[in-house]
Amino acid sequence: MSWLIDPHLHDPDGSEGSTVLSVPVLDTNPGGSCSSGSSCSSGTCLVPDVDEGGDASSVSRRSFLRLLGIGAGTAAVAGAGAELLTYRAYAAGTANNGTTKGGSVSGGAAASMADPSAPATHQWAMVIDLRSCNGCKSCTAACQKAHSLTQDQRWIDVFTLTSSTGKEFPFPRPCMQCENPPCLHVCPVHATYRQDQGVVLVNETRCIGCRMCMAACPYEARYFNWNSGTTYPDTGMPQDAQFPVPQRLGTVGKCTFCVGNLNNGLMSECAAGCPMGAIYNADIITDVAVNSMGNTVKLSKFLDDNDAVTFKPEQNTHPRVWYILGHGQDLDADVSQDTTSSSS
Amino acid sequence: MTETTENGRAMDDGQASGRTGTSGYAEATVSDTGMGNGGPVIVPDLGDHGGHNANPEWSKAVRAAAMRPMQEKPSTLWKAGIGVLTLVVLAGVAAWIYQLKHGLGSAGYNDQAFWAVYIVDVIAFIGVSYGGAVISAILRLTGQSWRAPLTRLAEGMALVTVVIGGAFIFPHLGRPERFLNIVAYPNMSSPLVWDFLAIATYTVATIIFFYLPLIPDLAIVQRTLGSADGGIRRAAYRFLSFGWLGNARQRRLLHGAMTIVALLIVPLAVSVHSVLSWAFAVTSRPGWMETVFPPYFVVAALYSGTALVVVTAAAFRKGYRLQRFITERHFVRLGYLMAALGLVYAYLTFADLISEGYTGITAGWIRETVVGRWAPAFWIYVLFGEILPIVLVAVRKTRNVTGMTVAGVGVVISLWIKRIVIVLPPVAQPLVAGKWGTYHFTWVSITITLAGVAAIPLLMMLLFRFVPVMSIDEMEEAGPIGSFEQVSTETEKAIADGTVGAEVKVPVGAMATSGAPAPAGRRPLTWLRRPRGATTAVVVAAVAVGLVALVGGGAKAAGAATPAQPAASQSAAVQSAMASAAASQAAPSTPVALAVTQPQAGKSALDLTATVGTPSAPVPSGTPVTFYVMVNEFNGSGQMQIGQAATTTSGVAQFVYEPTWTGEEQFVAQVAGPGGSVAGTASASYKVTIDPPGLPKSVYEYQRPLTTTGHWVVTTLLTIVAIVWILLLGSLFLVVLRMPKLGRQ
Repeated sequence: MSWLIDPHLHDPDGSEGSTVLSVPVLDTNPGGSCSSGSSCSSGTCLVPDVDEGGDASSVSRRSFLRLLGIGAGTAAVAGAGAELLTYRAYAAGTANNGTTKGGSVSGGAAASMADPSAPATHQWAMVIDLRSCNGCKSCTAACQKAHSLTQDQRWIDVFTLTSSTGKEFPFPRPCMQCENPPCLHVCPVHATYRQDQGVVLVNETRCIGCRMCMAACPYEARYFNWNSGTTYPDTGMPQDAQFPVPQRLGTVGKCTFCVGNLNNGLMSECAAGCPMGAIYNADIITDVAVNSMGNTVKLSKFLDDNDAVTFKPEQNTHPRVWYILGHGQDLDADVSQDTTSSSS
Repeated sequence: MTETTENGRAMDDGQASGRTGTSGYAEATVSDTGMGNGGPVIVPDLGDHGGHNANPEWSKAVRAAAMRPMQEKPSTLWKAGIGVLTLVVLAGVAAWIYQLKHGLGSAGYNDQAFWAVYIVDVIAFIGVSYGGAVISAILRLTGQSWRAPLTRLAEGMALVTVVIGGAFIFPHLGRPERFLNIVAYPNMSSPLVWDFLAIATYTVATIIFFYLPLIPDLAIVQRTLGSADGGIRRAAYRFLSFGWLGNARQRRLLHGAMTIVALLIVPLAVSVHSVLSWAFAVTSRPGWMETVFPPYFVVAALYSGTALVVVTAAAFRKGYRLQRFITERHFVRLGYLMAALGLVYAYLTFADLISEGYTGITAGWIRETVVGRWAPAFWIYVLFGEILPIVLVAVRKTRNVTGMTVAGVGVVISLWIKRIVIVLPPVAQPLVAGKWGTYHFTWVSITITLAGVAAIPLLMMLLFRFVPVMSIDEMEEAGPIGSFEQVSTETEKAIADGTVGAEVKVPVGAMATSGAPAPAGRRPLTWLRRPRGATTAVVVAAVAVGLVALVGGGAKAAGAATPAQPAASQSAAVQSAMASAAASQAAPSTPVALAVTQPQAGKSALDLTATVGTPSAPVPSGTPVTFYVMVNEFNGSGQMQIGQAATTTSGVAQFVYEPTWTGEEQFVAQVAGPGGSVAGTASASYKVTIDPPGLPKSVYEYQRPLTTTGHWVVTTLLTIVAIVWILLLGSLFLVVLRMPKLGRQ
């Protein structure tokens, strides 16, 4: 019966899974594409080389953290060539500080050598420091630009909450990447899945568009593709769930944590686009959190020291997005008492 | 066993339908039965009722009326009706094609109105189907012989509406062409998969439930058809009636199968509507996450279904001239049933609102429903869906065909509106913050919905071109009981005028026992009285009840994963406050040396030893030294503080670091100078080769839903579904395979 039951980490269906889950979570580098300054003997880098163009800080960036042969490309399976190309093209085009070197593009054959049973070496997370957020919505704009979204599709949305003293404060809300995701449980066709780095993704080539996940999500984090004018024609090409661009008509989309960026040593679009450094990309395993201001902090300590909380913990969703409150801001502001509702 | 003399039949029917052409008819009959030797004309007992008191007058009238729509040339009015309804349906199909091309946005949908009119249509249409099927099944099981003229209409309505309701799933989906992914990649923890299973099973059950009682009628029709009706048509009827002659053994077989299917259809219909409600109730949305939802939906379905039976009966009674058979008494009885269900539904509505209204978090949607944006819709339901029908039933003057029909129309329409009120406010409410969403009806969604409405009369009118509009066999079996045959239009009028009113006032409680006593020699209709049938019935009922209970358990288990206690998070032996990793501008002035060693072989923990100062220029003991590790994730700046330690008297600060990744790691030790400046730094690298112990994946141990008890729930439920299918199809095949054999014996 196990084939029937909620494949939480790995899609049980081999054929479909191989076309969708197959983007390697790590860059395998058989060609030794790391920069000359680092010794990449195992052929595996934590992140690919990003040319800094002579930036002074590039030294640190080139001192790669190498993972010796463990779990390279946990989800990597053969047949990923097309998606890899799509994905790499995207990564090259949107990298913040330059382009990935051509040599770091790895083919499907190399990716297939990775052991799919090895545990993931990253568990992506996010910390949003509300003390720093000024509500400028740059994160929303950066996300929409990178993913070709409409104005209504705010994968990271900045809500305005009201504190206990009546003060309004901004509240960015990405997908919480719940460890116990309600959307995943209710998806009738396993189109929503949670990959092994803890990111909840949508296979838009399988989604039937029933919107049950939208009903189940307590964070309103899912956005449907309602109108054909805002999507591109379906070319029939396989689509990468890590980078579901363009969106497909009649399917649901959501924040992907820019997991492709993260796996390439880059920040997510929203974190990189935040001028205040309020959004931290984080990795639970390496215990690192980084924001756009260059603050690099130890995640566990950062959360502990600042009494980080999750949003709607009573929902038992166990989000992987933490909030750091400040200035008396109150996450539990009663949204149902919204006074604008009757008049609007 | 008396064989029919077909010439007699043909003459009977020829008279009834005003048709001639007996000779070809008799010829065909000879080849059919080998009889037809022109013997004495006997009352037609085809379908011979194994000892019915075959009342020739009654039988003739019933057959004439039930088959008139099949035999007469369609009237202009009928053709016009079909034409108009077909146009409406085609307009709906066109609108759907438009929607496929332009997306669900063209139907008014948006992210704060992601479920709206189509899912309401699914619920409403399958709901009325449920009502029709259950009314018919319960009346059949309880042996209510007054049901006889209504069962075919109710079952036909159930069949037509379940097909239409199921079809509304397709405009509801964003990607209807991928619908079969539900079969290819089923996620058993999703209520929608169970919806699919339940609706599919129920649809099959409805078809069988419609077909089995039809078999005797098909045989009658087959022998009534003349040569003018074409060989193919007659062959089809002959095939589908499977050699029904109506002898006692065939009758026993058919009734046994019908009892099983009728027993199954009640819990199946309950399960369909419960699972439909769980599509809402397993979410955490205020307004939907309610334990009252399954009975709420089931009662709404029964209520609207009974109402549509009333409306259907009124329409076909008038249009197909069945006044003699479907009398005011039927409407009044259905009206009582409708009123009782309406009261239960009002009670459930109140229970739904009152319990949620007291808690603040859910107050929003109730305010919007009762006094806010959706208040008009809600009060339309209260007025036309509750008050009006109950008043119409309560007042004696309006307790007639017209009054009940008006009540039924009100209930059907206002319950559709009530479903909108159930679906939309919880969808539109803001869950994080911000404004309420809005849904606007567009021409697309209205056209498609109207197409579904038009498809009901269209399909039923077409259906009754091919099958008798009343169950001839059941009506002959029931016989001209009660006042049926006396209730002519004149007496009806008298009743409506209140001059003859006492007879119709049958209390609801008395309905169960109000069936006329079986005349001597008439086989009891219900099979529950037979010991063997009773055992089967008990077993089937137990299985069915278990199915309903387990569907509930399964969906709930699927929805709620047990939370695991958070495991101890990775402890950082770090005491310092958060330090800025920004590089210092001040030039280092204090000499620092950093050494990284692995003190214990086989353990990953590293000793970071910083030696500060020189023997000639010592630093004071207690000088804080901050240790960093270089990071390149997320395009970060690199230095991540991992701890602090104070120097000893010898100027040595030591810090034990547990690495969190393997590979070449670079460490930095930094000595703070006055005013936050950096007095000195040193770096060293070390190649970590031992996997760090206990890599924390998360502080939360995820437990899949349905892994423990839920797993068994799924297995058990699927087993029950399989049993139901076996019983349903088994009943059908048994009838189909055994019937001709029994006829030959």
